[in-house]
Amino acid sequence: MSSENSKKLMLQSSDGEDITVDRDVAEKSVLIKNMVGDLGEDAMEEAIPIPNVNAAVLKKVIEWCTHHKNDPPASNEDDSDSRKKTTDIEEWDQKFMQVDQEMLFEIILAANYLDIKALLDVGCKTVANMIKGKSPEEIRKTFNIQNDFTPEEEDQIRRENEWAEE
Amino acid sequence: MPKRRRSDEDVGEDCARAKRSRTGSRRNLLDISDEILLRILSYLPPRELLRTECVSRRMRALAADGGIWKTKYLDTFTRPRLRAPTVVAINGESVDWKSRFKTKTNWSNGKAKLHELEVARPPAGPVIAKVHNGVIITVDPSGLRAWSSKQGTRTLRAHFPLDATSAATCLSTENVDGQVRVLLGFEDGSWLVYGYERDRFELHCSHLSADGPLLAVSLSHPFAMTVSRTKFLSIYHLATRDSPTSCCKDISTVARFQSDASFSPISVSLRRAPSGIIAAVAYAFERLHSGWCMGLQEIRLSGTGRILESRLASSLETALDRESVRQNKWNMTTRFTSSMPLAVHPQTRSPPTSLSYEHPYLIGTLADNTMMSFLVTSNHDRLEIGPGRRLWGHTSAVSGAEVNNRGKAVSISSRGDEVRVWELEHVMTGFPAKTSTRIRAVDALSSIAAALARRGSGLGLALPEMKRELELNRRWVGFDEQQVAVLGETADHTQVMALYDFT
Repeated sequence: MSSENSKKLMLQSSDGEDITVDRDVAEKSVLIKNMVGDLGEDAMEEAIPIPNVNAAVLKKVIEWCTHHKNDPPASNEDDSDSRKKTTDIEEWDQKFMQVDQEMLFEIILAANYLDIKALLDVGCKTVANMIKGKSPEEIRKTFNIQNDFTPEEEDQIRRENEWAEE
Repeated sequence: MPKRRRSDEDVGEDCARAKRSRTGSRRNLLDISDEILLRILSYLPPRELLRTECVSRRMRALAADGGIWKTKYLDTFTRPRLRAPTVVAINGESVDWKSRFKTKTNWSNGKAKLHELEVARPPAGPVIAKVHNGVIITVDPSGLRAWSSKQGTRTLRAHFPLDATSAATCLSTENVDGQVRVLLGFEDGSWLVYGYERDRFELHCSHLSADGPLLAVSLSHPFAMTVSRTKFLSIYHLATRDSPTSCCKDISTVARFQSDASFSPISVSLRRAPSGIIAAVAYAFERLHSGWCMGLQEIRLSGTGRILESRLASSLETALDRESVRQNKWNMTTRFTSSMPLAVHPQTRSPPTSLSYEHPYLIGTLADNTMMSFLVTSNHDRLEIGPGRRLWGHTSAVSGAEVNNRGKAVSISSRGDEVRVWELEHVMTGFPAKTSTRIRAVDALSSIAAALARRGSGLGLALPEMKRELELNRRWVGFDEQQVAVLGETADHTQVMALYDFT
């Protein structure tokens, strides 16, 4: 607690657990960063409530932010039509994302809520990679999605979309 | 959980919600908001996206999202060419990006559905045709017809009997305020202009010229241009009609020239320029000891029809050219600009089988299985036919081709068994990608079935019949954004149109 950078923040998870975290790590979240900016020094005094994220997920998110705290800030916010949408994920992130599906979706929702774009991207890419190369039935199985098409409807869609298959 | 067939209650969102409540607090892919799901789906390549559509109703709605497909379209087709995405500005929001992606993919893979249309039975004479914004206009002695697609099938939309005593020889179309204008040229030198709108043809004006059999016509309202076999080139100005129903009576001849040599094949075009109208005639001519060359005559007119200048360019220039220009062939102020001699193939020994010029692209088809492609430069200072490129790809003689002003061309072999799509923009700029794609019919089977149904023959006859069906002896090709039309004649002189649908 000697330098500006190692100032601590206290975050309170939805299930009431207080978690201490370095301020620069916590500020990977645009939501927290803005909150700290608004509250000023008061933010250091009390725990900041994060009502949508439970302790387990919050710790996981903090783990990711700690590893990536020295990454350059995200470039352009609006890269929705960036040239190449690759699903390449760096090795550390791949390992980090080796969690059960429930945790994976919790992380994605938390990243979205906390506004951590890079983490949200990693999460989305991970899910996209889980969809890739699978048949519709395999996708349903993987994600426990119910088929709400009749067999005729499903067949019709398949035929409509045959043009892309070689 | 065993898979359940479609439930009685309403499906879709409700189902997803029901599902969620059953699984309790456990997070599921479907708990994720549409916004984030779209983000996930945007990482999938097109083929995977389409497969995802089969998963469930909600996934289908998301995977067909216009925003995702727009990005895919731009990434796949526009950005690799490093050009401003000019294609985007078509009617703003109403663009169906998924369909566009599909059509474009089918074009580049050469995959199309084949429809066959019998356009005229014997003893009808030859048919001429033009494809224009989804409408196919055909002309034969029994009349002028318009065909367009309706729910996947091509149907006759309008028929206008022609009481002309002479045969139609050439046809040109243009779009004016949503109306298709058709200019028809005849054997006896007369020409007619029709409007086509809401499944109806309407005669706008007619004119009888003394030019002789017309070879090619072009229309750019209020101007019309004709070239005849007897070497006359005429440009007309059509006055605005008094009322929408009356015929235009006031047709004035703006210019009429006669050339020394006759040119065939020939391609004429009228196009708008900031300064007025440019009338262009592209032709092939044989030069002694040099073989066949491409020539281009360009006449600039003011908006009121005054001739501003005329100039010539050819694909091969000699000292003789300058001499002939000084003699002032068209008896006007003529400027001449040279172009690079053809490096690879200074001349061709036989005449091109057809020509198509749509500024800035000029192509000629040749009997030696190749095509020639030129880029034309036309600006204030010069008119120039750039160095030609020979296009390889056909495995037999090429008999016809059409090019549009964006550099897409479609060509057909004289036996009619091979249709190719060319992206000339790539060819002329040295883009290393593949230059042409052969069109394959996705459902050729249905075409055989159609042929059988028409003839009522048994299965034993299927193959010979099919072969006969393909032995079309006269070939023409035309195209628009969605389809390629091939016109031909079967052995029993029935005029058949084959439509390759890329949508």
